[in-house]
Amino acid sequence: MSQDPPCTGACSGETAPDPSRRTVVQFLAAGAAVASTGCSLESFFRKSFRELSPAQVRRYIAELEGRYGRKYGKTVTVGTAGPMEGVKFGYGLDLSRCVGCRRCVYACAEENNQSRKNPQIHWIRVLEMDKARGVDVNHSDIYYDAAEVPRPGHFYMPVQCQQCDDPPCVKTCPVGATWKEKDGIVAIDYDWCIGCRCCMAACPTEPGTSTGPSRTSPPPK
Amino acid sequence: MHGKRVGQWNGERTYLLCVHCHNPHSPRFKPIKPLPPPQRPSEMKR
Repeated sequence: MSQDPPCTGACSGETAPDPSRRTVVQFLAAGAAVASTGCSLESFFRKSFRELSPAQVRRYIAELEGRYGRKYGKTVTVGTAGPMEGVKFGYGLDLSRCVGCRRCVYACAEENNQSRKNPQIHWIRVLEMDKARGVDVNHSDIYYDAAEVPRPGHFYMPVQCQQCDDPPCVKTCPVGATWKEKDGIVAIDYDWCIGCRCCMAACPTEPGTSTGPSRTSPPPK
Repeated sequence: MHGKRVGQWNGERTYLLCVHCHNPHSPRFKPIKPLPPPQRPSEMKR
């Protein structure tokens, strides 16, 4: 499946050149523009982002399926299903089961390949609280260093993004890098984030991490 | 299979608690050593 790129003024009224040749010319022109402005190719494509048309999506999916099929020697199907109608994702937590072992904290850092140190980025923090006070975030402790958990008289609450229904981070972001999807997920685009940390200040659960480059992440396995 | 949900979130699923098979009072869950606490901001170097 092929799709001609949009016709520019240069080709109106003339015999249309070969589409592949025209694409190459457009690409070279874009490269020259990038070189003249001094910005990287990656940043150029970020700023020149545009949504794919349904025909382009079908073409890229077919390319991916062919590529993966050749790589793995199997028939591969790549899905493009979007969010399901009438489904809204939320966040659930059973406090009665948590013992404060922090296994989830480190599993999350490994799964998402977060920076291990300098800076250490944890998307989950476990709050230790006094049973006598009940849920009192102001008197909670995330730095508890016990020999064994659960410690008597305490209970534990892992805190991460709560996928708020009316998220303050979305309201406060000055550049629109954070938004709420229709199916309930709060999303962040790292490329749009300018690192102002307004979302951290606005978040009621104090995630304690900001988006940014992971400096000490090990290479993927 | 107990102590967790199995199956599909939007289809057939089975949810068995630990106590469906175990007596929750005997033996008690053993305490375990937690993984290290997070670094304090003062301990991080840029």
